[in-house]
Amino acid sequence: MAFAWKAAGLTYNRYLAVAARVVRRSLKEDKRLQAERRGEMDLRFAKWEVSRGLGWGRPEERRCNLGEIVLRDILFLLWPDRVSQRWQNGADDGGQNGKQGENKSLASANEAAMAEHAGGQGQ
Amino acid sequence: MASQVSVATVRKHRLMEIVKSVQVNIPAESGEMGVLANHVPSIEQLRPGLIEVIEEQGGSKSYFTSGGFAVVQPGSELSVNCVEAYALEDFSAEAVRNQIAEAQKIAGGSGSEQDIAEAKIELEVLESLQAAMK
Amino acid sequence: MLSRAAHPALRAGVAAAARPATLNVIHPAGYATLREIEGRLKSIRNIEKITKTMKIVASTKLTRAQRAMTESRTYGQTSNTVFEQAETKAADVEGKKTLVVVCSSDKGLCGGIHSGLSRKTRKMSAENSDFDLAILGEKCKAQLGRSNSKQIVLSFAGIGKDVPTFADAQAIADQISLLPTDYTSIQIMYNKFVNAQTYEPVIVEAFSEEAIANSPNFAAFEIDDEVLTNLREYALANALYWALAEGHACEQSARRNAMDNASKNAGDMINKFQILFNRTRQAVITGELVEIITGAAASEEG
Repeated sequence: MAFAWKAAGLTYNRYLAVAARVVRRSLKEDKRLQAERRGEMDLRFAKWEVSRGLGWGRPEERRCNLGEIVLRDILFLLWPDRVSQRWQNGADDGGQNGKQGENKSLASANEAAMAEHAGGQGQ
Repeated sequence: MASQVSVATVRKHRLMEIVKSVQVNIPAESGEMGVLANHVPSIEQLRPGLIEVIEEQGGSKSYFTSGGFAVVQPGSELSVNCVEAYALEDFSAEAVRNQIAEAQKIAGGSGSEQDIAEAKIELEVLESLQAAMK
Repeated sequence: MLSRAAHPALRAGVAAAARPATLNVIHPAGYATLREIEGRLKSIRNIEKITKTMKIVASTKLTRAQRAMTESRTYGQTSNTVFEQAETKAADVEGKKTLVVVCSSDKGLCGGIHSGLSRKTRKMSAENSDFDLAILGEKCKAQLGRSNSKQIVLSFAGIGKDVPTFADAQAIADQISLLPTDYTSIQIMYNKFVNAQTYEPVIVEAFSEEAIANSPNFAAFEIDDEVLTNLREYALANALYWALAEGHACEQSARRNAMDNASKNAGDMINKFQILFNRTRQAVITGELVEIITGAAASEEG
């Protein structure tokens, strides 16, 4: 029972969502307005990357100026846990161990992710 | 020995309806299934299609569903869990036609694989709906 | 002694000592304090208006949310009856990977909703921090981002504005399914609606395919392998919808209670300050009268 949409990388939930959307749009006007509200989805999401070199190991090397490296190492010796929180992957996330990716709209991200998934499966 | 199968239909737009019926026809992926009392327990994925609930008195109600799962529990209880399910009167033939035209355009077009796959899904559902409405 | 007693300031001080203590405090700057109290009164009255409105809005939203919650409960429970019948248990295998999905929301002013979830997560983390986190909602993301940020893999925003839809749950389930790691068990943490006053954080389990396939009574059901994957994804979406809807209802009810308390407190403060204001005003007037009279008496003598 191979599904064509599976090969294209869609998940079952996505298949259901598309089918439900089409059914809702085929309704007569009065029922349609009520039903359309069920299809609204306005979420954004962000992927978090876990950086390596956490905790008591050396913080991960990354591009930064020498002064910063020296300062970081000195502070690391003094307050290991504080530094690992503050300077794990730099950037301006202000003290997060995991780095947050950008917020993407869930609908488009779902499609993009399924495209990737399909590519991976096809190999 | 129960001569009835009780159908608990759970749709995303209406509360659960527990209906006692004689037979329920569900559009499973593996083919149209008629569920009578004492059906063997099984889990079926539903295709977009008509669910027909045949009542004791002989009348029958049909609902078109967009897909979901149907589970026959041991004990002659059928639970249908679908995302959307409406009676056939609630659909508009014109809306269906318009959507078919659009979906065909996208499916034959040169969009991304996902768009084409989604358009194909839409076509499948719409054609089934159109056939049911005739 | 006489010169000192005749000193106006000292005489005022003596006279002041004879008056009640509050007057002693405000006499030199009576009007300024009066303005302060008036200012505070005005701002507290505004706060009271706002909290009262928020309470009414939350009550309205609560009725809708509760309806959605009862509906989603039936879907979630129907979805679960399969697993109950089959007596599915979370697979207990080596190298078990767990994902905990925390269902909170983006908005605050709802009492202990978000902090309750965060506390429970931290407690779990203290016992065994071998799980990944997917966080729904900005509030918990902020709280858990401080303590458990290493474990976070996904975060979602835009939750809590309106009653959650099944489409929301499906989209979230999709993202979770598309994560690179294959999780043996997905635990969904949400606030369970006990009654209009109470809620508590609980965990519901969404099983992996292995767990389902290994359930004791599963052989009773006939099912295709491919269908099993779909069933699992669908069950995850159902469970998420259940959790989201119930969490939303808890949040509205908690916000209503919180705003109700805030309005009551604001009301109490208004009363207190009103009394203080009146007393202060009367004291200022009395003070002025005394000055006038004293001045008049002094000029008469002189």
